[in-house]
Amino acid sequence: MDYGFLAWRGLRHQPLRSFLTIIAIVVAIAAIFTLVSLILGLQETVRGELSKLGTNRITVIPGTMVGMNLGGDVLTEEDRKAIENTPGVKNVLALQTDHATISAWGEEKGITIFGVDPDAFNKTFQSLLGGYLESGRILDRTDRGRYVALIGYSVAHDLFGKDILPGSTVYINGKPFRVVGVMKKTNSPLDAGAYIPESVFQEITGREREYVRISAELAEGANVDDVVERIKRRLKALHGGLENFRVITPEQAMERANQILGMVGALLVTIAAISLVIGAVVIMNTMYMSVTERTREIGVMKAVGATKWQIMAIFLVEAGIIGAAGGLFGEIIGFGIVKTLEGVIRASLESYSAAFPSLLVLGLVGFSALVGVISGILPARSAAELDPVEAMRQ
Amino acid sequence: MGIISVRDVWKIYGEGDAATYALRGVSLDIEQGDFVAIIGPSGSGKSTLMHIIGLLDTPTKGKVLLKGKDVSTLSDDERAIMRRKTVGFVFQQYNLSPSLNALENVELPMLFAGVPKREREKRAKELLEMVGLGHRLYHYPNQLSGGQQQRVAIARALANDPEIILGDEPTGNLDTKTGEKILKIFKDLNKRGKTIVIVTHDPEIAEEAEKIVKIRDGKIEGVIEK
Ligand SMILES: Nc1ncnc2c1ncn2[C@@H]1O[C@H](COP(=O)(O)OP(=O)(O)O)[C@@H](O)[C@H]1O
Ligand SMILES: [Mg+2]
Repeated sequence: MDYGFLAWRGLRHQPLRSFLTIIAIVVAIAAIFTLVSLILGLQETVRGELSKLGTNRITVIPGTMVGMNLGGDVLTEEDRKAIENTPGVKNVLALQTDHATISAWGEEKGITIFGVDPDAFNKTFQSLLGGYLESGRILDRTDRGRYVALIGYSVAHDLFGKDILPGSTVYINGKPFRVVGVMKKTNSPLDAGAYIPESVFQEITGREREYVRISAELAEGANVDDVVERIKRRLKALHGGLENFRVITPEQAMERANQILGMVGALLVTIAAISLVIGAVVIMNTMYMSVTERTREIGVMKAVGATKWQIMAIFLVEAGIIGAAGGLFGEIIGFGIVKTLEGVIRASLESYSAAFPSLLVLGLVGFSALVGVISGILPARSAAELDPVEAMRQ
Repeated sequence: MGIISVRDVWKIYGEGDAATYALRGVSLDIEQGDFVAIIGPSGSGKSTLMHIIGLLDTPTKGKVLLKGKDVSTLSDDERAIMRRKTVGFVFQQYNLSPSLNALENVELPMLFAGVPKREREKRAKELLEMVGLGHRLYHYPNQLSGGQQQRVAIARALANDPEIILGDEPTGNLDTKTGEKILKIFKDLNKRGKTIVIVTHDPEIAEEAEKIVKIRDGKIEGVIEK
């Protein structure tokens, strides 16, 4: 027999109530555990995916903010040349894009088309695009001016009732294109798109030569920051001193993605934490009831020599056990939820795996126990302050 | 000076018109090894006096000295610590913890006194054997008769080997025969040197004491020494 035993006895006294109180904590901890685990996993995955593509590359996009191009800022052929000629840059891939229709198997669907220089595409397919080829071949210099297309995974396998194989003919904006190859799943907009030679792109879209993205592969040993600076200087000069474009390094892209994930995560965890506050109130209420019911027993314990602190300890341990048990079962349930959702996420993001850092696993149980103890302070103190004679009269 | 010295103790509950004078200037000396019976009508202040002697309560006015130490000014926790070393309480309603078995009930005061687990269990067993409950160690209070419960309570009172045992009508809920057995335990303890103070209604029990203190309306009416 010890304080833990006395506390445990208190919990056993009203098993249903103790159980319901623990449930309140379980729900909160399961929610927090699930969210943190999923989001940390997502951040890990983003990091992994980006580092797979290598860090010796940079991307230039028009506009002053990522994802926003309100002023009609564009990148031109001059910009492409300037980037290509920048010391430290090895290869460049400039991308034009537009919406288009694609017809195959008697159906017409919408896709995104990307206009590229076939030669540049061929040189950078591995370094800048990850080399995701499933079947057939990629574009090369012999394709310049020809109606050929390298199509994305979804276009080939999901868009129509039947698969589109290399060698078949599809109609893009009504013009016949020979499919030379199919790309692997990349979990990006590329999956629902097609690469075609840029001259052909201009013919079928009637658009000016304007790039939405120019990516550059850096030469061996080139310093990323130096190259970024050089490109900025050159483009600014071409744009009349305006920095109406952005030069993004993989690190920046990763940082930004993880920052956004972190912010979303923090918001969600804050919401989940509110349920923990509710759990804490439930514990406090339970402990007050427990103290009230056991007033007489508390009086007896004081009569046989318990100090205030000793009485408090019994109730704090009891509240702490509720918190710890809630934390433990919350994590077990959270783990189950995370594993289920992990499977769901993997269906579209193969390399995803949730994260279970020991700091999260141990810290959350500890934190939950602490929440329990803190919730128990006021009730425990009211028990400790009871007058033994009065209490025994109950 | 005795082991217990009560000096002009007053206990007043409430204030003004609603005030109840439970004790009005009680003075009493009890020597080491005494067997004292306190008698008096219901509401005369016997329990109040016992609580004050037993450090469960403090006087409104006056002084109490235990083993020569003034205890009327101690803090709650100081009294709790002194209480567990110095006095053992036996109540009319036994006041055992219903969810602890006999052994655990006896261990309780030792737990608070910081006695190590092994020693606690050993001593609790010995004490229960001494009061004739060696075969009921793991029974819960509701599985024991009134007399057995009171014997557990006596064992508990003895747990930390206090010099003073206080009984507030310890036989009040028991039939005559069982009451006599309990009284015998108190007498044995007294023979082994414990100072015993018992509140009782029963004149026969009072007869057994060396000293009878009569209380009425919060005052000592008389002391009979034999
Ligand atoms: N907490 C209290 N508040 C008010 N009055 C009390 C309280 N405790 C005891 N009394 C009063 O003090 C008087 C003495 O009570 P008590 O010592 O219990 O008497 P006894 O034990 O002799 O029957 C009684 O009138 C009782 O009503
Ligand atoms: Mg009484």
